Amino acid sequence: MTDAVIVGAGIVGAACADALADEGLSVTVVDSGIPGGGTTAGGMGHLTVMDDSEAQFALTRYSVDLWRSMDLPPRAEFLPCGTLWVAADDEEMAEVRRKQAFLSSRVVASEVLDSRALAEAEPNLRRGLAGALFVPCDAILYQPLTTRHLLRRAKFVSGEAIRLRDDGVDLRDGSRLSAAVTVNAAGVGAPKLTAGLDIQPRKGHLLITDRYPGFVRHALVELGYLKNAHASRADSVAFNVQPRVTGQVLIGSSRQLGATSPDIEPRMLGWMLQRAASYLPDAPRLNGIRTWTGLRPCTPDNLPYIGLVPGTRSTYVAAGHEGLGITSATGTAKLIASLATGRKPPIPVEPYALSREMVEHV
Amino acid sequence: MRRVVVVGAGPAGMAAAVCAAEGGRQVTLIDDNPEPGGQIWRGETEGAWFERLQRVRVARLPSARVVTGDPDARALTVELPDRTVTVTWDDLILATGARERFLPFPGWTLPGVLGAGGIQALVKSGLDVRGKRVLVAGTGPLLLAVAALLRSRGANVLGVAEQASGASLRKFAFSLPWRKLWQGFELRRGIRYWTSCWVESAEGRDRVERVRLHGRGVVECDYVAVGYGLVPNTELAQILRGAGTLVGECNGVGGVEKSLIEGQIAGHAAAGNAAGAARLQPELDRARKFAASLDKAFALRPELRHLAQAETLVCRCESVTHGDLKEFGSWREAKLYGRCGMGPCQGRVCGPAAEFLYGWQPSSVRPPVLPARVGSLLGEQHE
Repeated sequence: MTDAVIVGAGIVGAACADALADEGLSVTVVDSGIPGGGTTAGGMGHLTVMDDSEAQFALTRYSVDLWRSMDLPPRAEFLPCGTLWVAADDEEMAEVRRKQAFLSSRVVASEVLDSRALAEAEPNLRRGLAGALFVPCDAILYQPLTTRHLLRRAKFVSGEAIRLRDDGVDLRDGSRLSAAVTVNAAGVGAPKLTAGLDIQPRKGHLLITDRYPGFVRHALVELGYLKNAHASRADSVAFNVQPRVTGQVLIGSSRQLGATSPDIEPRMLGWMLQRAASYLPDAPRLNGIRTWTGLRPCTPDNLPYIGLVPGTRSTYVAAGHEGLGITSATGTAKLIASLATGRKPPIPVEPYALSREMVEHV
Repeated sequence: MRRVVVVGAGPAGMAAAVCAAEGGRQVTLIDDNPEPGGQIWRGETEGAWFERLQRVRVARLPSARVVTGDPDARALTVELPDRTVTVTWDDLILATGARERFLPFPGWTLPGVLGAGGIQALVKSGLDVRGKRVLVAGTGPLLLAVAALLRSRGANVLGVAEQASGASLRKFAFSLPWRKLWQGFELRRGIRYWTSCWVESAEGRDRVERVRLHGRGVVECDYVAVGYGLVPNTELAQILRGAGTLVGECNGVGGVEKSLIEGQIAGHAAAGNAAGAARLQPELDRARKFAASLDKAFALRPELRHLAQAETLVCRCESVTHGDLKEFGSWREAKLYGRCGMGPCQGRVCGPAAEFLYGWQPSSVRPPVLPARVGSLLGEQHE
């Protein structure tokens, strides 16, 4: 018997374990795979303040602040490199200014770079880009080892959860983990344990290169990212490239709603790399050494489910973060911890409630 | 006309290409070396199969690395030194060979400690070993061939340390046909051969100066060639999810005769010559039986699992030691948490070592098969 059982040892479940341990609770985490080995391992480890919606901004900003104040061990490979939102043309440059106004009115520092300043900041980007918005608070980390670090105070149980109740979790092998609080942090697997969650897998591809220190210096994302990433339900790719502590270059990203096979799809991989090469003309000369895929847990309104399961006393959900699970893990965990201990949440939780009115995403 | 694509121009690939071309097929032979011959016939140009390959029309793609493939499109992505091409097939034959198995022992990464096949390739490419003291160690018939080659090039071969026991080898020798047994004797003539013997450690300041042999003390030397058998190269086959026929060492290590027979059978089959393929079946059965007896005779002894010390490197690319790996329970954990196998060799060296040392099953293979230029993976233009 522990105070809390969390299903899912991804970074969201691990952050919940850490936050509940901060509250003095004893925590057990159960997963059929290895910690940080599912969707978490498939991600880029990008911590980024997003402004797709006010609710998304509130959670990502709060979460990035928490990450930055956390005492992470060196193996978490925390790299405070900031994000450059790259604008290709004047239309996107207008978006740069809108985004800067949005962030500055909410006291988030950012800096507009013109074409020349961008070329100086990132010499390998193609000439003639309009500019960029630099968001210095953003960062990168190595998410599998960060996940392990967050789990250090929890008991890990290897097993498959089949049922969540207020008083515990039933496992496939017939055993039972008893607890006063249960949390479904099973990502793309969460709907199997909590009826009514609308979470669909959205597959992504990534490629990592050999070591080319300094090839890129910031997390680089095309400003068209949001329209490419979320607006359409069709397959899409976006330029999203980052440096790693090792000197390697991580190249993303692709999105395919409903795809569930972990196989690399040559068509998607090629399309994604073409997009990267259109921004980084020398990228085709780099040696790629490994590719992989991951399944993002995607909700209809691109906001995660964080809150009490209606009709229960102490069964919570923390799932459905799409591509922002690593960014939002810390904030999500604080919300779960405050709900579970009956304290006032640090930011409003209503936008993420399971019972929220689903608005059609435009 | 049906297009037969053969990957690998060692004995198996050469035989497959020759038989398919002789049967009237349009054949493309892809290999990562400039000349055919594979590892075993590296640097050679004469012999029946080289002559037959000369006589047929085979489109050759030398110095070409197959970096990935798409079984749905029946297409291979092939990197040439200056560009990348797509090669499509109607029939695909994979003769991707095998690589050496390295097992970590203290000092195995010192300069001068080489693979047995590695020193063989270097000598054939011009490494001067005249007057050098060389110790050959590990397991399998390759060791004798390497020792004989080194001696013929003027090296002072100190001896061959074979980890298998004398009893196991005698049993194996009794099962051999006279011809093979005689080959073995010829190779061994004048070379000291120690059974139940292996390198416990290699030492030296900047390069290897001496090795400690199990039960035989310290031996001073200039080079150590260590090979613990071969590991089939199945990565491309895995990416192609069962497309293509595997022939030769990648289909199970068994030596050049098995490779030639399997290659011929696949070549005949691709040319629609079922009778030709069927005729070789009895020979194939014999060759495979021989391969199985090799596996048994030269099975690795458990003591070899305990040579590595805490500070001995297991993954050279990412500098991961035996001690670093103690806390992990699987290959995936070792990769994800310990960076083992995450470097440019993609676990080709440390993967088989970890499988033997810790009993870890390797994880599934994803493209690229080899480090590949990002430009090679772009595919067709989308925008």
